[in-house]
Amino acid sequence: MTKKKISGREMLFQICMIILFVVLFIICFYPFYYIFIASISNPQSVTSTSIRFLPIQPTLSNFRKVLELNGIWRSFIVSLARTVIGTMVTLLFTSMLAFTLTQKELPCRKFFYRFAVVSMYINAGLIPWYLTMRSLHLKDSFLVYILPTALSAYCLVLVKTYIESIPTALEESARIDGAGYFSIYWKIILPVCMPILAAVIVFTAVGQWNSWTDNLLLVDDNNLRTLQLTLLEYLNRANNIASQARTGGAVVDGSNITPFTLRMTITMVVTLPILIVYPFMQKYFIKGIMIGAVKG
Amino acid sequence: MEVAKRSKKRRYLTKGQLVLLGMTLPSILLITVFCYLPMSGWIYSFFDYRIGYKLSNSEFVGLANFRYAFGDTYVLKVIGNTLIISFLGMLNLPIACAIAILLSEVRFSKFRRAVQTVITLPNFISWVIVYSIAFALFSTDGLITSLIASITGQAPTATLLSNPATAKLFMVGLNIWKSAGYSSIIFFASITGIDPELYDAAKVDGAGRWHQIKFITVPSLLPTLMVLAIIQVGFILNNGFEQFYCFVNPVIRDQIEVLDYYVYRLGMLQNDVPLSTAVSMCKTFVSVVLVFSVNKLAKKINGQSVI
Amino acid sequence: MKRKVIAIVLVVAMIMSLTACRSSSNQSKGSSGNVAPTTSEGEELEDVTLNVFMDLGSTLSSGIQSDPVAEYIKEKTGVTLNLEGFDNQKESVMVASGDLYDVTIIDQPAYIPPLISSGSVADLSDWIQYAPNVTESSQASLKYSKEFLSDESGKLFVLPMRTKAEAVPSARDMDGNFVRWDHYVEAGSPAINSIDDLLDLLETIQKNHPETDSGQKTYAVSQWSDWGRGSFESQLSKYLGKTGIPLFSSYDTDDLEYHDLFDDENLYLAYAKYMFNANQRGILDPEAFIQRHEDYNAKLQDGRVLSTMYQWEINGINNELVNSGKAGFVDIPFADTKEYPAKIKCVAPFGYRQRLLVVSSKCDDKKMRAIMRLIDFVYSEKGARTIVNGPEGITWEIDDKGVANFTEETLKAQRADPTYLSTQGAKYYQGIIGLDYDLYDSTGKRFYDLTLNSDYIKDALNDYEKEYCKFYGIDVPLDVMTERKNQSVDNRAYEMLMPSEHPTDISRSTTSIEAYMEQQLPGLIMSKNQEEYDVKLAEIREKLKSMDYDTTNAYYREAFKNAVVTYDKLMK
Repeated sequence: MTKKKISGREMLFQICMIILFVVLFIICFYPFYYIFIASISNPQSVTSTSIRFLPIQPTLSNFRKVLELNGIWRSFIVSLARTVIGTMVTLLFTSMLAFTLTQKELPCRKFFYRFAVVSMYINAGLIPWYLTMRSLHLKDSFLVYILPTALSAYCLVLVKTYIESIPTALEESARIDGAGYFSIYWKIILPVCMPILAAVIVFTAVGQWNSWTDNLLLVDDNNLRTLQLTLLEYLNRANNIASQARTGGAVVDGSNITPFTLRMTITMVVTLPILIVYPFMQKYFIKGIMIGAVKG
Repeated sequence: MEVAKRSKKRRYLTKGQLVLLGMTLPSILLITVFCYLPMSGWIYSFFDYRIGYKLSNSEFVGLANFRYAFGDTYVLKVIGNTLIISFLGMLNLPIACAIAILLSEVRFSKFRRAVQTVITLPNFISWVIVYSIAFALFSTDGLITSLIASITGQAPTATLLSNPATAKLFMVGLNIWKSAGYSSIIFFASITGIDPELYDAAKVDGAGRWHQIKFITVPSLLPTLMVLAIIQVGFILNNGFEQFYCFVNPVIRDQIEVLDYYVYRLGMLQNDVPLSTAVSMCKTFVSVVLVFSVNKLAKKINGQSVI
Repeated sequence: MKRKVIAIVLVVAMIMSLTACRSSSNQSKGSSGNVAPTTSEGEELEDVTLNVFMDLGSTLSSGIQSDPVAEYIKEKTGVTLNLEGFDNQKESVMVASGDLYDVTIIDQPAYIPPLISSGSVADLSDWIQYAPNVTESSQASLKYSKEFLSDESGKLFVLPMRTKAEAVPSARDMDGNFVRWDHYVEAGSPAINSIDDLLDLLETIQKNHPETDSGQKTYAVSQWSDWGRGSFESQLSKYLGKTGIPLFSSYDTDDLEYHDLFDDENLYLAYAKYMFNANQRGILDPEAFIQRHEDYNAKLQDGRVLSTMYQWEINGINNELVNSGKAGFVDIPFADTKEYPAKIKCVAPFGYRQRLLVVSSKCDDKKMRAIMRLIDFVYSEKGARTIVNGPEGITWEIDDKGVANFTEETLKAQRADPTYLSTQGAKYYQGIIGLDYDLYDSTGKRFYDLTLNSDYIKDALNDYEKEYCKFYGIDVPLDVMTERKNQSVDNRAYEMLMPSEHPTDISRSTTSIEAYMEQQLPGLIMSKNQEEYDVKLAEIREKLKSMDYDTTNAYYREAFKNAVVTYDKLMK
């Protein structure tokens, strides 16, 4: 990592890599940049193909409109709460199960693992899912945001695979010292797994932050409304016009019906918090730090 | 359940096993309740069920719904599309892995971090918006189309959005663009976990960068890559319908119509619950069979079962 | 061991699913039967908060409402509105579980029978007397509801809303043959005596304006592909007087003749022919069937599409055109001849099938009384006026002669700020309006939506609209339609009388035939020449036969015939 002398071959390699990643950077960044300039353009004079590199009549009115929405800050708090709590719960259950599944002493180990893996492929359909949630009394409850996703089979697989790659010496020395399973899990496995747990945190938190169907179908209480649903409803107002026109009679006169800039602004509003937090997670993704730290 | 546990405790279970079970069963219970319990809804697929009616008032139709879903010759084409798009989509994993490996070899840490952040961005853009942007770039007046037109000096006859010949590749490409960066997070994490002593030892032996990648990084990532690949094989019939819902048009529909969109169109849109249930039931069976077959295969080759 | 675990899991699963079944089938009890009297006039109104599931339109957000109209409703009925936005998925799980809101607006008649059989909806038969305005304004819809949206008992469970008992010119959100007035004049203001004349006009316009100001290529005709069957309609459906129904069939609005896809009089085939000819002349956007509606609308805004068929689409665009000193889009009528029995008027004696109001059977008497007050209000003339114009006394009042008019202040404020009425809550609650938007009031001459009346419109005409009126010798643009001799009435009742639930095989073959047509029509339209067009059409018809078209078509033909017969019987 530190700059020693750089050989000619190394130089060539680094340059190639930089060119490659600059191209990748542009491919991934331009669409997002496009969304950004669309979101600060004047909604009345913008259509999708007219925007290219610069905003048209820059304005913050789109953002103002979105941030002035009724109840948006409350729903922001709800979304934040479900993201933080939901992620922590998922992290706990998933990593704990991943740990026990690597322990040979656990009865029916293989069965439990397969039972979890298969659950990924089951899609029962909307109505049975709704009826189940309802019969569990999760309707209009904050728990409906937390419990159904408390165990992520996909993350389970990731964590379990990671734990298996850890040298067993660590665990064994702890066992010789007389540590129980729980303390091995808590004191040794969890810290060592930080990199993969960081990935799990990113996946789960993004999933929590972005989900809204559970809110739409199961939670009517406005105090538990999430940011995503609030924004979606706002966006749908614009879409409603076209859909109503199809079923006989539109509703609004004179207003601009393109939800284009609105959609772009909403994407910015929901993505920015993720982008602010994500770089803090990146420090867990630096080559070779973790194991070394624990070992040393 | 309580009773069963207690009786077991007395006879067979050691303290260690008890602790482990105590740590395991809550999670298993969660899976049971939230994934397996709603499976009772599969029963709809054997009835002429309509939303709101009780099952007891619905006529039992046996396998008629399955026959309808898979009886049409068009569905073969749909399954064909699904398989092609999914197989090509599996490139996602090696690409994500390559990105992670190569990027961690880049020396400039600020640049590395910036790229790492930016490549995850496409994942946060919903398909509806991806479509809007694609239309802005690739339609007849789009940025890229007009750029190409001004270079070649002729107007394109069909754009990426409407060219049946390239439609599948375009869909796959978009999908990889959207998900590869995000998936690479897993590999970044896995690379982090590799014991640095291995690299040090290799360096002492005079191994170059290429050898380090080949003999240390790749083998260390292999278990993760394998397990993810096997999981993805199980998802071979699932492409999600959103992407196709956004990009479909009459010109390219028969090229890119995948099973999920087909079911959406036939089932959800028309509230045909038995039909969509029948298809998702079949999808689950196919997934499970595939996953365990591939797993067996891996065991034969590798000597070790992954799942 | 493994077996035991499986057994335990199974037992738990069974217990859970049993409880799930029980609670979902246990909705049938509830009120109804004996009815307590509502509070009589003068008594204090009970304050009740009602949860209402409805289309929120483009201004409302869910939750408790506090705009001027909501305040007015509260004052008149004691009802505080707590709204929840309509959503298809949500509707389907509500129907499946019977968890209705106090007042729910269902958008599919097919959902009504299961809701009745599970006992989720309240019987309104005895309650309806407390909403005299419904009985007065929408008698036919009640009769219809008891016969077609009920079980054998013939009770009243559903109120179909947006009723329009008598045929009235459609004044809002018209379809039409819209091109820019200055383009039309520039093209020599030709009369449209045939579809070829229309194509000539469009071709001339495109020739005159081949590019937009920013240099992008224009097309006279365009379209979109994401509205299913609705993507294949045009101004022809208005002027030919044809209405599309499932299976890509259509009927003539004047003589109610049914035309299937083997009949060249069919609306969609007429459309295909028209679009094919447009394409032959090079005036059809090559992306017509690739783009989605939002792309089409964006092109329209950019001036890259030169004609359109929906008024709501151009409202905003016209405002911008006027602001930049240009002329807006106007409806250029087809010749007033027998071939073009334009759909000018609309009648919906049974309301609209997307607006079926039901009340949850879980409501207690106090809530029921409040609900009936709310229903009575939205079906009253005063209520309807308030919903479309804002609250009485604030934006409008009734003068000495008993005529409703905007107040002077409102007119002034509206002129200064065109969104003024909207800030007063006008048009927010159209999702729960009882009477249709453009309906005459009890004077029989004036729309209760005051912005539709000629005295209001005349004051607000733009220059190009004045020229348009002068050209046709009329007072306000709407008269181009109303003064037409050859016109027909769009009767929404036939749609309501078609069966709402089909046998499974019929609904499935309908789905596959419609999907097939959606895919084939663009190809047909884009045919290179007449010969290819004919060959393709023959191929399509051949293929249709192998898709059970005959059986399915016979079913719809019969259903439509029955609808016509039933309508005559009901309206006698």
